[in-house]
Amino acid sequence: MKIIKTYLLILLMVLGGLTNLACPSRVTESKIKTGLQIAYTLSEQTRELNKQVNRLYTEGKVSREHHDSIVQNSLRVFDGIDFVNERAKEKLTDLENGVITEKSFVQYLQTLISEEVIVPLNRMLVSLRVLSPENAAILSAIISAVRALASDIIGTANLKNVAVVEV
Amino acid sequence: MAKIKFEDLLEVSTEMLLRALASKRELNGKTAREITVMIEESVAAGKAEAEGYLESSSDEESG
Repeated sequence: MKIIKTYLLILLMVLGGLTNLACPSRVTESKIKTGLQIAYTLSEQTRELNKQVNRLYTEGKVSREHHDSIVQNSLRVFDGIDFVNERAKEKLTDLENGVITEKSFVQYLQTLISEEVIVPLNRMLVSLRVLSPENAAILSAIISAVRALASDIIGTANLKNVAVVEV
Repeated sequence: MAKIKFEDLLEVSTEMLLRALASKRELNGKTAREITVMIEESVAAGKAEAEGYLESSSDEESG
């Protein structure tokens, strides 16, 4: 289990691209894109998580209750990403018209991600926690991957007042 | 309920990581606007898939 967790963390770190946001004093077009890349990657990872949980359910390794709880919570995560994306599109227009600065755009995006995406993501993680002992192992691997991604978002996007649920 | 095996663990985590790496490649060279379109498509697909999974687990239960 430790080897797998280490493997997951190393590979996620290698993804890089998110380290641009580690230097908040230098705001560039690439940082705006990075915020949007985070939202896209999270959406794709949530799709993959659902697919894997559904596969495990059809194989009889995850209960229907847990399967449905995880998938229901993922719908809230998608709603949050959608909301962030719509607001980002509006703000991009303002940025292109010179109405706002890049810095304020990035700050706005970070706040939105905190409120609209991380909150339902935490709820999803809580659902993942509620497991019978014999199924805990498989979902620990999924949790590790999702946590690493969420921690990456929190770490590099400098989000405030957000804590990833401990699992 | 069936037992979870080590191979299951590895398969799930590998699939998720491969998807993350594929996402990164897809995004290279895209503009911010283009990425917002990709997000829309990904979210729409994700919601449709999620609703499908819920429907089919409900059908299985009643069937």
